[in-house]
Amino acid sequence: MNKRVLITVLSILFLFLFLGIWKGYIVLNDVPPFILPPPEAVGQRFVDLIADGTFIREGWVTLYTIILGFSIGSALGFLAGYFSARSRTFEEIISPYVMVIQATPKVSLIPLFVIWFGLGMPSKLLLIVLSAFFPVMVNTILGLRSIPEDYSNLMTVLKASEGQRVLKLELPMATPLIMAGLKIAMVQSVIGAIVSEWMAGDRGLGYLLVYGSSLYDANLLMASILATTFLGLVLYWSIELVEKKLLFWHESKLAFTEGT
Amino acid sequence: MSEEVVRVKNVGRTFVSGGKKDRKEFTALEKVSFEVGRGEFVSLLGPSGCGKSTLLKIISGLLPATSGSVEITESVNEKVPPFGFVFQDSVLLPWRTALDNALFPFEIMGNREKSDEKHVRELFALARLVGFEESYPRQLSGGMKQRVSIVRALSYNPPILLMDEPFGALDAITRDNLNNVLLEIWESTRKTVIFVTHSISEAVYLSDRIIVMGTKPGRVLKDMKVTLPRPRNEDTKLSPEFYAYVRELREMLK
Repeated sequence: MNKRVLITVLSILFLFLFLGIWKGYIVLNDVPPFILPPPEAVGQRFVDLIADGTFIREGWVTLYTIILGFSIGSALGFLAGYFSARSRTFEEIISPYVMVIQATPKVSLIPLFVIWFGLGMPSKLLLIVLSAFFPVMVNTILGLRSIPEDYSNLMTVLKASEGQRVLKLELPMATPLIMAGLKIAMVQSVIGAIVSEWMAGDRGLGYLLVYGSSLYDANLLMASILATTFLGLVLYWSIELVEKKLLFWHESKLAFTEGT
Repeated sequence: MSEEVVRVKNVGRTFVSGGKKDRKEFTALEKVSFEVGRGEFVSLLGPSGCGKSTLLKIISGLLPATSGSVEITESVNEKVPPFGFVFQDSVLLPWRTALDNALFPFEIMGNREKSDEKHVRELFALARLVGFEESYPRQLSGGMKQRVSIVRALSYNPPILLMDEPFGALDAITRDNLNNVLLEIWESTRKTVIFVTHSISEAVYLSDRIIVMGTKPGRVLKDMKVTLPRPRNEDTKLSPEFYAYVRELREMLK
């Protein structure tokens, strides 16, 4: 058996081991299902909640909020990063505020947002925008600043215009770090969406979690956690897919493209 | 000397560091003057800190001089610089193939013609890069990357080639190879070359003339003609004349 197959088999066995311990623990200790439901019940509930449209409906609300907030937040983060990298003065003016807001746990702002904007979309969106903004901004600055000086000298020698500099050199050069920032921003956005739905939501997967908790429905809770994880994974993978397409040339990705 | 195409007149360059209180001035270059004739291969040789790279940047217009002037009488047209520049690192764009990197200048200048790709492919052959046109920089060795960068600098056929320690980061064997490739390219294109190096033997092997520079402040110590016969090859390095030049320069730079 070759190593690849062995690793896959062991990896799947590991999952069954985990489910077995879970089931075994319940049977041996006679744990009541409202504390810890057995794996097959959680699986059944997960399928049911997809079938009756609950996960599709609530998942769509969460997904939609994440994509909107992530897009706005990372676009603003990119612009702020771009102008900070361009102008030291601009960076020096905004950097103390950036540091303060970055050090603030964003989640702590939600109660305030609820007072200002009430429950629902605006509060959720604002938190996600804030969560996505900083990783993208910081990485954009880093990406643009770390371009070696002679690249810029080459553009000067070739009499490149400002636009050519940006499009043909700076943006592609900064892409690896910007993509890394977008990945962090995506993870933060998912967390932001779920947490804000607990606290300020009336819809969404995060709301289902609070709802399950208030009903002592551990089964619903665990099925919802599974759905949340699934959503997070799909979003992260979509960014990785874009990254792989854009960065086919980068050393971290070259192994995939050489093909030999 | 044939017709002068580059005139460096009394060039000085001072760098200022620190604020109002701890202001420090550092004179990188003081009253440097020399001329370069068309088709000449001239090296700027000196220890680090003698301002030779600064001087090359001033010649190319990347840095302004504090005093004095540089005159380049060659010109192609407004959009095309009269020189190609080879940096110490290859500065290739990693998302472009070797060929696309070499064609990059045309994309910036927006003047690509049908014959240009043919010309660049010929340069690939001269630089012994045939078969690597579609490789990405990451797949090329350091020496190959630097050869692509030389091809890129020559792609738009500028009359002058400026080289800033282009082989400084390479190992000795690769460096010897690239010296020979550069000589072959030069023999067949007859560009005017200004070549910055801190290697005495490299300067002697390649150049028609060596501008020897000293430090504190950076200045010209000597303008030395190298009359070793051409074409030069590895045997040149074994001749007593070659050694005489190397010895004289080593004395001077002690």
